Amino acid sequence: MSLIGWLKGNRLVDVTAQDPLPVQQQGAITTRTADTLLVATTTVTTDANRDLLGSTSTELPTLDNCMPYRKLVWFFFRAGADSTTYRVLARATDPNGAPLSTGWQEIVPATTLPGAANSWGRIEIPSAGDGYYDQYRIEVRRTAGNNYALTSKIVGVR
Amino acid sequence: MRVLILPLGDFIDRQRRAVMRRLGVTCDVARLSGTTLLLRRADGTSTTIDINGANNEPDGNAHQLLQQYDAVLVYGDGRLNATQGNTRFANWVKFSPCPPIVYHRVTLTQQSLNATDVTLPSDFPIRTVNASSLPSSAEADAFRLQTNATANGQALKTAGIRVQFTRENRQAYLPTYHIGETSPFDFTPVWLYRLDLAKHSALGANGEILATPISEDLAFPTDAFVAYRYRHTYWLPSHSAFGFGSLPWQLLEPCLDFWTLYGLKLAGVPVANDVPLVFCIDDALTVPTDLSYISSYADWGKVAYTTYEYLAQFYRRTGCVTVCGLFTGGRYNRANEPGEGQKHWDLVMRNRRWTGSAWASLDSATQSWIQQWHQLLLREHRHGLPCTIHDHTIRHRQNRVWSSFTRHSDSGYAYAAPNNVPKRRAQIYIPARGEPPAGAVEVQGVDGERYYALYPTDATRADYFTGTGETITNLEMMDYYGARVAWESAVAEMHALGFPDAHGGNENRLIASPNFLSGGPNIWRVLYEIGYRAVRTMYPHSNTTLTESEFDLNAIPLRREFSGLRFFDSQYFDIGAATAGTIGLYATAGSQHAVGVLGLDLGGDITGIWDTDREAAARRAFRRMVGHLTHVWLACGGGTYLPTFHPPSLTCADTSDPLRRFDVSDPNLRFNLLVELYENMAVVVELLYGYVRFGTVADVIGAQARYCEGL
Repeated sequence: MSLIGWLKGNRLVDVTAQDPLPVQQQGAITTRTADTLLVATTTVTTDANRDLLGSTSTELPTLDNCMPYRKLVWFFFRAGADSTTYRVLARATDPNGAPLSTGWQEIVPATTLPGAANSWGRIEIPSAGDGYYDQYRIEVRRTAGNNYALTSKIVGVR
Repeated sequence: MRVLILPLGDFIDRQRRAVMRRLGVTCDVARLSGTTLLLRRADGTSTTIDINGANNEPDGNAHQLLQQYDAVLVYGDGRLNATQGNTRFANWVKFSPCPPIVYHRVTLTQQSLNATDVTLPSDFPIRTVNASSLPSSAEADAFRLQTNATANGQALKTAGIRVQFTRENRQAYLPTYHIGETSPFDFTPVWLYRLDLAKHSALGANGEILATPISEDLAFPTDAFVAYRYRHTYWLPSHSAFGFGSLPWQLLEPCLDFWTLYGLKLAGVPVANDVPLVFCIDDALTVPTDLSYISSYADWGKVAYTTYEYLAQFYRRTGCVTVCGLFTGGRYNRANEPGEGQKHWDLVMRNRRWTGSAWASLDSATQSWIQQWHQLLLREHRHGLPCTIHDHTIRHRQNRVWSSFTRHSDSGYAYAAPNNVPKRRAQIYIPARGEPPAGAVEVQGVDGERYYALYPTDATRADYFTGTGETITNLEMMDYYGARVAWESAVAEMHALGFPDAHGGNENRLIASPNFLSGGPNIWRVLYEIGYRAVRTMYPHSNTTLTESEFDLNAIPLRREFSGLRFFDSQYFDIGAATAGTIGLYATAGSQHAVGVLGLDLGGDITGIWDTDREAAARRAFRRMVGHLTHVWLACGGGTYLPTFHPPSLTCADTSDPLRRFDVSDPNLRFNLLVELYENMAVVVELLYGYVRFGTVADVIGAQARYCEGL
């Protein structure tokens, strides 16, 4: 006999898989399949290893706690057309949040950032397959021309 | 209530939306593109409205649109040297009936009015400006808030003036200007518009001077004004277009400023989420490292104690909480970082101070003040001066291994000697399901899951545990238990000092990270468990004073929250060196003064006249300092920043009367920075009743959580 029962048709019944407690949904049930992980403006310079947060310290992640996400979608708006490359690094951490080692796995080598001045872009990370990395570092580097502003939003897709 | 905002330009648009979301004001947003309004309603629907020609005149499209609202807020990007679209909205002063319209930073030059086909009513009393040969052509009709024409600076620092509020009959120092000359943002030169006083008089009840500038070092013309009501329209100083955070995060900062909030008040727009203000002091009981800026350590003790007594009284009067971060770690003789320094325990329990190179005993008079000061903190811990850990010996350093760490042995603590607990990360982690394997320790992972940590079972197992002694080798801060051992020693020290808790009481659970180090998941989890709910640090991460091999390796999330712990960025309020102190407003020798530290000089208009016109220079420096710091504190109420202040910035107070107010006739120009700042803010809170209040850390946490929820 169950410790919990309820009155069903004037009869006390045990709570079972066939007779679950009658409940009413309170409010809408929402299931988030995507989360905003970053919104940032970056001045794109010729500095090596500058990430979207403006950091040139190579061990610092741009994004952390990304294990729930199979893919990141990077939306950006570039104010300048100046030649630019981007590079994506990724790695896993242990349950303490510590990277398994220093350094990164390069999942996208230095690649031309697409788009003209005042244009939008969208890049999936990784481009094929699933990610599930804990940390990502996304670097941008101008290879010619002048500095310009790159505005980014990155969404994590579960 | 239906509210329409009209932000000009992409940057201002983003900022204004962030501000409105922070305040909980639901509004429609209209952007101007040429002569078309792009209206985006709060319900997500959109439309376009032509406001060209007759459509921008009474009974036209624009008038019909505005009548659908209860209040309209125009956030312009005005500057005098350009014809700008924001001028088009000035035509709306002719609309009747019409809801209240609040104007910030609208270009009222003859050139811009002509270019946008705006003809102001003949009784409109604000003088329009001829921008044909700036700045001289404008000087007949507007007032430039600087003594030279060319110097570039930050207007929020250099345009602080004393403002008289007419309706409320109050005065406050605030950054105040109507429009820039060349910059659409907060850069100088900046100007105040002026009135045609004859037209103003003729308006009767239809014209009202709401606020005026008070002449100090600047002699304002009698027709200069700060805020004015013309019929249903309010003409206010510029909103702020400047954030404090690093560039990547500025998009997400709700940049609050006084004039935005005052505009909401005038228009009768209520806010769902008001602005709570708290203040924070680091190294809250300390003495300067030397006597460069004060006559004796006993005098310092008197100044500091009297000031904190004032802060406690101020709390009783206003409800303003001042969170005091105590410099712990001294009980265990751990070294201060970076560089040695006296800890709270050194001063209170060991009667010694750090000179910068050696320890020295406190004289009896200083010792007496220090003891009174400590007792005051104990008494006020549950009231206006909640005390928390601010440990410069442990710091929030995640990527660190202590070769030797001294813990405590007080009874009643899980991680005190002689308890043998883990101190290093295990070799193996497996999901915690079923019975734990022999010798395993259960931990929570960064992903929120539970794990069994499996340690070696051979003779090397002891290397992973503390043993029973007080001295521990190879203690890892990256490990949950290692971090717990370290932080529990600080908790025990707070208790040993007499505090009932180590986390600022129930409503003020804030820990101030020394040097703003960000830490990592296990440190954050431990801080949550020992009672904290917020960390003042920097985001997305800070590694100040660490070498690259020591860097913290985790980023603070976009929503500034990790497992119930919230993060705040930091803003300095010091006017001198954090350890030695300050000269005060300015001196030609030395650099530790308000003018230098805050950047208050504008093309030498303080430094260049300091020796020739001391009174004007001092008034200028003082009003800019108080106005700017008031603005910064108010901006902290946005919910993403908290103040950082070090007591040595009080060394410029009068040692014979530490609370004495600033008096420009004092040859030594002594003043108490906190008294001046708090009293000015008390007026601001009074002026913005219903919008701004003094609150607790819990209030600020709630404000941040509501703001970040939608990111």
